[in-house]
Amino acid sequence: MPLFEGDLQPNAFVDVYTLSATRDSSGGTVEAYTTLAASNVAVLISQGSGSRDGRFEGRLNTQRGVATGEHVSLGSQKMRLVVRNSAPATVEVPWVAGKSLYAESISKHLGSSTDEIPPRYTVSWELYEGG
Amino acid sequence: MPSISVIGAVIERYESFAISATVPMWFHEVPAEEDSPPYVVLVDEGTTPQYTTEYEPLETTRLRFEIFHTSLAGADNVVSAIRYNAGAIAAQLGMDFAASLPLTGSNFLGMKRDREQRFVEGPRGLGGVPIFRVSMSYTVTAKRTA
Repeated sequence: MPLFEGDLQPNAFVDVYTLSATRDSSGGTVEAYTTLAASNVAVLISQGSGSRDGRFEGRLNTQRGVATGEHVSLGSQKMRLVVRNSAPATVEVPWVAGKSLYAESISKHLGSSTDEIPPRYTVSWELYEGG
Repeated sequence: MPSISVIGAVIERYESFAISATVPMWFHEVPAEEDSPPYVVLVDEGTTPQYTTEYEPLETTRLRFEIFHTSLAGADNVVSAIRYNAGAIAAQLGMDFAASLPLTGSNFLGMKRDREQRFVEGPRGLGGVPIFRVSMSYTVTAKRTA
């Protein structure tokens, strides 16, 4: 049974980009998410929370949450999600619409055909709300 | 306006540098209204008076600049600006061998860099990119007069 076949519906569509790493003139790593791995991937964004965790000696807020979906691109180690700035995200999760979600951890669920539990990926993401 | 503390004088000197227009400096913690890096955090590591003469101690202040930036090359540009303020080393325009500090109540004697180290921060910045930190420690020596 597919994840979004029944009452459960996605509340956002995301584009999945994968990482390319190079070096700058000082030897520092430059991380750029330039490769589009998948577009319009349906996800359910849930369990939102936020904290001022003091990173970089500052007090800016960081949002955290979970994105659940079926597409295999969500299982990539080097992925970043960009939430499409259109409905339903603009209506249901407007604070992440159009934003880049950094994958903090990735869980892969096998599912079970006999129990009608769909295979899926859950991505724990964070969004540093710097200006 | 001259400061009665070395920390205040160092911030005032930094704010006369051209780099301060784009990379602000904050004492110990960056307020929530401020944008994400680049910026500089100034940390006070303490002042030690030496009573070699009565009433007018020689005060040694250790302080640290923490430079946060979205690239290491960008951080190095800020580091260079803090060291020399785009001038020759002997011109003493930056913090290294600073020609003066706007201090009141003590006579500024010297400022020198003791240590420098580069890091990548664990948490990620805007858009998930790494944030680089350079830590620079300095010692400021001044003789208390008031």
